[in-house]
Amino acid sequence: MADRTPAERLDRALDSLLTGGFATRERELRPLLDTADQLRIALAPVPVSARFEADLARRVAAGRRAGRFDFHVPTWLLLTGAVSSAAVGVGVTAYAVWRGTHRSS
Amino acid sequence: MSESMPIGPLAFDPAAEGAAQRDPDFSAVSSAQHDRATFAVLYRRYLDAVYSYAFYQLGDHHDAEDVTARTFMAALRGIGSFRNEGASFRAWLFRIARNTIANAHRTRARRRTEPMDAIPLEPPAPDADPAGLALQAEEARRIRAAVIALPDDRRQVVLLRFADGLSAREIGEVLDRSEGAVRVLLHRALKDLAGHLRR
Repeated sequence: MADRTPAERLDRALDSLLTGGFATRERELRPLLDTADQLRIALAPVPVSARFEADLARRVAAGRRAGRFDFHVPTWLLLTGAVSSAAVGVGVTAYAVWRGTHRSS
Repeated sequence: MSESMPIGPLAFDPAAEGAAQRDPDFSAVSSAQHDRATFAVLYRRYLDAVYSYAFYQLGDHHDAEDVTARTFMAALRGIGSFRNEGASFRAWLFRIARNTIANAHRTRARRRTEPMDAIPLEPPAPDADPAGLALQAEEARRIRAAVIALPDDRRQVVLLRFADGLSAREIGEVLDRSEGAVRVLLHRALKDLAGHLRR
């Protein structure tokens, strides 16, 4: 489908420019693409310091270990465990009461 | 600055079929959702891009490092809730970064920052022309200053497109705009910048 608006044609040309291809022959877009090319150069990736990269990598690894239990235990399993524990507690208490009642009589 | 922020699934077009297949990070994200150890792959892949995005907006290496660290820690915490429903992982990550940067702007509103031309440059080639290098650095500084002077929405679009290489669709996912609106913003931003840089 043909691009209809200048904004769409520019965006398509930028896709080409940013992937190293030939942008366009359209005269109308040429000044904008020249500016885009300047932006591409001026906004090059900023290097990250090796110290920061290593520190954050350690924090990411530590965060992973600290969160392992929370991440891997599903909510339904925790709820089932809580309900089961409560049921066992109630059962044991009821049995103790029943035994106490029968012993005293 | 709080590290708690909305990082759940993004509410984008759920009808966007095949989004999972279009997301180049799909397999790495799936892997990280099952085993956090593999999040390191995504961390290494996007560290420079997130850092650059933060630095170009904050103009300060220390703040950019802080924002980058918060972004990745938030992403690590939220990766389990990420659902690929029309939005790519990259867009989701940059959305977290954008929120974190907004928080950083709020908390340091009155603090002075280092100018952006303090970007460490690649070491020049031994036979490089010093005058040419100085001219190139000055031109880059002038362009970055013009970008920073743009209205916020246009500045965001320019940085995400040129510094981070996001597509118009992905930028729309980060900024909650339609793809068409992003293209129009980009077109206007380039016209502004072309006019400004001609002066």
